[in-house]
Amino acid sequence: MNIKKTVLTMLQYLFFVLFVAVLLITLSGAKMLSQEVLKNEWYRELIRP
Amino acid sequence: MVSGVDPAMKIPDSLLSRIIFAYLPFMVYAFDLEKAWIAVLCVVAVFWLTVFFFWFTRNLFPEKLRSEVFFFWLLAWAQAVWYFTKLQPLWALSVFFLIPTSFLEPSQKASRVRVFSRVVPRYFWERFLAGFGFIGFVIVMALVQEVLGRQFGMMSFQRPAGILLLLSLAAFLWKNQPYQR
Repeated sequence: MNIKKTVLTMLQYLFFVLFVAVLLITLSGAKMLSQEVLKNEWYRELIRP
Repeated sequence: MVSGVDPAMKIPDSLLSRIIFAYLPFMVYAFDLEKAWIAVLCVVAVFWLTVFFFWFTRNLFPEKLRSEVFFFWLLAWAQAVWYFTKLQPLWALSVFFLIPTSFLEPSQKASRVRVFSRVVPRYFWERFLAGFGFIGFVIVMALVQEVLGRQFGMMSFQRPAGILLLLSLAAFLWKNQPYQR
């Protein structure tokens, strides 16, 4: 029973690490994509504060 | 059962207080009506997505780290929206105040409700209505600011003072609802 719980906890921590990694990778992807999107003149005009 | 008071945050779980807290970051932005629409839709979209995402995945994360995961998630959204719209990430605070974090706290009742149970549709429906309530609230505030501040030129409504007055008026009316049981 304890072994099962330990394995489950380890899996949860693994999932946490994977989740944070995916977040970081998605963010860097979003940064690259946004640089492309921001090249459009009409879009820059749209988001002008 | 699923919407208890969260003692860690000391914020009452009634809808209006959540909405008023969530509205505070909006007072910093100098929005016109159109930008207020865009920002509030962004807040509510992330709010609904967050509730949906964490309700179904919360058990996959370690109990001790659930709040941190929520924090990272919020930071990531704030950063991503900043990349695309250059909108200052204060709006993430609005999401933070709207979210019932109680279901992420292992000690809270809501977190002990099973992921797939009969109360889940009601829970989502309440969160859905809370989002709509927030949209309505922000738009009413932006409209009043637009009409009184810009069209009638009342200086106090171009500054946070007028909005604070409106907030206290809303809170007063909410407390004194005529048909409240």
